[in-house]
Amino acid sequence: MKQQIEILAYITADENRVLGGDPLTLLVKDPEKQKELVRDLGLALRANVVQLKNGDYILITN
Amino acid sequence: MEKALKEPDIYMIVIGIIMGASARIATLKVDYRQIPTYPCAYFNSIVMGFIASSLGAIAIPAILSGDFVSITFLTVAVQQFRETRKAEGESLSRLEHTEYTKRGDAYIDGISKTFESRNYIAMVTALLSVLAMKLSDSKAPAVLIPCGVITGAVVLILLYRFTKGKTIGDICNIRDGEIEIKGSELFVDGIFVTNTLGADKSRELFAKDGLAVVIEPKRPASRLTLENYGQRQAILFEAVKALGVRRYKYTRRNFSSDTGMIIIAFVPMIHDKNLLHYAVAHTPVLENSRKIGRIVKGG
Repeated sequence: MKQQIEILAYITADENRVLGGDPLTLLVKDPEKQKELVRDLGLALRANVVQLKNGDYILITN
Repeated sequence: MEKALKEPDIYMIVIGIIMGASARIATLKVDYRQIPTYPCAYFNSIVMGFIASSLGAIAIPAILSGDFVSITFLTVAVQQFRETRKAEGESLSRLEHTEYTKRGDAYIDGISKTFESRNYIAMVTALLSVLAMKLSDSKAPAVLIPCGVITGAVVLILLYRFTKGKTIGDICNIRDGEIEIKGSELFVDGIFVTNTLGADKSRELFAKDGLAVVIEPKRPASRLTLENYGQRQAILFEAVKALGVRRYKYTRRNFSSDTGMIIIAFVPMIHDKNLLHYAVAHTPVLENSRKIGRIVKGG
């Protein structure tokens, strides 16, 4: 059975894409801060990081 | 009525047991990936082989002495060997979460059946060795011993060849894959593998230390085997087991290829391309993924 993949967090620079509920969505406008946050969260959650074509990041289960 | 073994019978039984147990020990050494690693588990397999060969060795003398009930012991042995398969499967399944990557149920099933069949090899080798000695109709040890040893060796070789399956190297060509990273996407030989390299560090890690192989079937029928999920998992497991994994491990089918191919990509602990090729090439073709050419048309 293939493992189910879950979105753990969504990191965006656009406030229009910040919605409540699950998954956790974080608004970070500075690209460098985004990278730092992605790295820290990725390590803490042991997650894989995907950068979407629109520049946003999602953290998904490993 | 007094029942006592005669000297030639003792020779036959002892040689039968020795040949059967030797068969089990020989098959423990033949396939290094499927034997237990620890001495105690190794010992368990040898003791089980010894019991199997004992049952095989006493069957013929017992039947010839009119003790037909002894045949029921063989059915008890079969039950025990099935338990061995079950126990081995459960043990490997319990350890799945401790591995770098999962073996998968298909591979565990294959390994468990191999354990079971090797006990049968021990039993049949012992049984046929004793039968050959009995048929030689000699009571001289100088005739009995060579007869039993030669028969046992021939039976072992034949049974081993009969029970040995193919490996990925037999049905596929394996070559190095060229790793390319575009944004958060990983490509091997221009084929998309994943887009989960979103962090800078993961890209650097894969670009610097990543390894990838492309596996292509030699015949169209082999594509069905290669692209089976359990088979791909088994290949990945063997690759990762041989080289270790620091981070990231992927298998990917290439849907745009007419001939079919899969890609294995990961960041290993030991950066050794030859070892990776060896591990992939020696991964067994699993029973549930195997396709027989004469049944699958176009093979």
